[in-house]
Amino acid sequence: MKKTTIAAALVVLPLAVTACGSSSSDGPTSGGGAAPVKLEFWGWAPGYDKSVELFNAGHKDVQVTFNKLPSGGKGGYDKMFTAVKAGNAPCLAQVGFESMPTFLLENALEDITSEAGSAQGQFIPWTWNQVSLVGRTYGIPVDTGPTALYYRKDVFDKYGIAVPKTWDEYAKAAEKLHQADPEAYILNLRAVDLAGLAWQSGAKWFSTAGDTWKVAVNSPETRRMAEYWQGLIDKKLVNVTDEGYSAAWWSSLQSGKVATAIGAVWLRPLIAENAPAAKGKFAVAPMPQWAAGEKKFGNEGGSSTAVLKGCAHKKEAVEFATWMSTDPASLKNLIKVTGIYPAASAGLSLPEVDTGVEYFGGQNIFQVFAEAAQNTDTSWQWGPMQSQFGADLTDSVNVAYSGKGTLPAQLDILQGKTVEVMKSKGLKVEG
Amino acid sequence: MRATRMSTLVLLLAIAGYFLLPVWWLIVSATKSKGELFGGNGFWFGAELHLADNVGRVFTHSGGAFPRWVLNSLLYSAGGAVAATLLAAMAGYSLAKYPFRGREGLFAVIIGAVLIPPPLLALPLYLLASSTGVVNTYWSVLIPSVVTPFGVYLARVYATSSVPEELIDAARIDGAGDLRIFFTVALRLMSPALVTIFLFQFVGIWNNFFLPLMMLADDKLWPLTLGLYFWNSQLRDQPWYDIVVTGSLISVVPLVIAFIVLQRYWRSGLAAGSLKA
Repeated sequence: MKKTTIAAALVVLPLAVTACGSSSSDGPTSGGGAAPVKLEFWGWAPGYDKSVELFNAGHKDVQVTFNKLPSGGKGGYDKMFTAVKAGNAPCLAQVGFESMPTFLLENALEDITSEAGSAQGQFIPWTWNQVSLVGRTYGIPVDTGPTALYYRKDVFDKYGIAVPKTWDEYAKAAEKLHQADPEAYILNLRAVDLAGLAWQSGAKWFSTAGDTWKVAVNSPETRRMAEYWQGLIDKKLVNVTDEGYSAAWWSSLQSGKVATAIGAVWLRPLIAENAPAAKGKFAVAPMPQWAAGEKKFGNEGGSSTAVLKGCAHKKEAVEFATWMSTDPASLKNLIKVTGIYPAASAGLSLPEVDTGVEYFGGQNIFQVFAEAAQNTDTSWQWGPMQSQFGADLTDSVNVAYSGKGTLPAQLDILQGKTVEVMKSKGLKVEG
Repeated sequence: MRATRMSTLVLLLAIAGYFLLPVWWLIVSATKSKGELFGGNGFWFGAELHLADNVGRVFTHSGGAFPRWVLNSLLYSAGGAVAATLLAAMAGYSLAKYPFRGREGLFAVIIGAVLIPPPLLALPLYLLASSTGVVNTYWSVLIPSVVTPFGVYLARVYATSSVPEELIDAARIDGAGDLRIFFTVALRLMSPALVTIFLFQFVGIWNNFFLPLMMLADDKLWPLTLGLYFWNSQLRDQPWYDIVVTGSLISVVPLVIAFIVLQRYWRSGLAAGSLKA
């Protein structure tokens, strides 16, 4: 066995996991009609509890308890890491795609390759790569965040702007709009948009070869994207003063002073809720492409149900996670309450995600997202120190936004910094 | 003379305004509907008042989790603060009135503990609670909450100055035991300091966030801080701004009440601690 898995190589800081104490999932093993296997599940999304109830009602041999915690980046992941260290971790956890490699580096995941292998065919191919690293699988995909262009149809119509199909056309639209109304901008470009835009551009910020990480934050694919936006920033055609989701961000979308938003499918209910006055004025178009006729898309968000280290019932954990992500009743609940967009291929044809939406003037916006989900670049991978990288990315981008640097130059700096930080954690890095 | 008074007044008003502005924003925002929250003037009321509406939604959201969190917070804060006050009073009184070997050394250690920020202790406490099995129970938050080194310090300083030795001697001559002297004589004399300790501890536990975050998995056991933070942490995906804002406003009400009711004692207790040290 020359299985030098990256997982093994990654564990440069053994966390002394005492697997013996995983009391939370130590239900008596079911022997025939004996007591059911008890599993604990930590997550934050509303609606998960309902899917758990549905599962429990239909399964006598496995019973799942759902416990809430603050969302991952806001302390949830740290809590999970701590619980793994203390031997208290639940079997199942809600983990965003972007954090799976981080969990692996923290030695917080169980290898479920043999238990989960048969489920792979049920999911959109690229999502399986998000829960796997170097051929080993650690979780089951739940949802995805295919991106599209939300735009103000009324504003576009008013100034005779056609919906841009390429980024070139988008830049021209930005110019036209700003000339017609000097107070109006095409977009509030946020720092968090850039990863998805780089993804669409064909960038591979992180990749692995053997036990070595390769970092390419300033690759040519990323650079063309960064130069493009820097051009628009220089011409003052996009607004870069806002981090997003603030009161000002919503109100500028509601008033139409910002005419488009780059957003994932999950932005749909948020716009409807937070910009109620713009009802019927928004529409959704596919993301502009780098070349006419291309169909390349990035992704923003998406998550999995991961199996945490110390889980004594991996088989049952995988059974539940797969059920939650694929069962039609569970998916209908998650689509309705949680607002997910399924990672399961069959989920995309459920009537709930293939229908006209009143807020968007009855447009079946899901067709746009389905196309994006199925044409998302499959090889994108996240890095192993996501919380640090996410913060560094935002910092770098904000320097550029503030005019003290440019996006391409900041990405060069970010590249060096990321390599350095990963090396200092003892990882083998090329960059 | 008049001019100085006027300028002092203006300065104080400006400072008060500076501190009250966020509170004002909170009050105003709690009366707004979701759409109005992101349109119009943030510091003035919208066209209609939605306060009752919002409050109703806060209390029924997520299957009525909020009232449960309020009760939990009250339990943690009141229960923890009462126990902490009693313990601090006993410890402080003992340190003040009973000379024993190593007393000053012990006191120095306790004062040293004042300097350790509580969140720093949350992780070791969590590991401790995990190995003893109290993690994810009421006890995991209550037990650490009954410790207040600052309270011990205050109680000792106050007992030294306000419980006369002669009184204790007199009680002894009358045949009272140590416990009885403490509960019937000392406790009463120390009451201003005890109110201060109680309030400090009450506010501390009420605002405590990191410890419950670490300890509690079951949201039925959560205090308000954790519950509100949980809702707030969902904002990217769930448009719950209105209930988060209104919930925050409601969550400060008990503290305001506690301060107003106890402020007389609070002030005299504070002064006692600072002067008679």
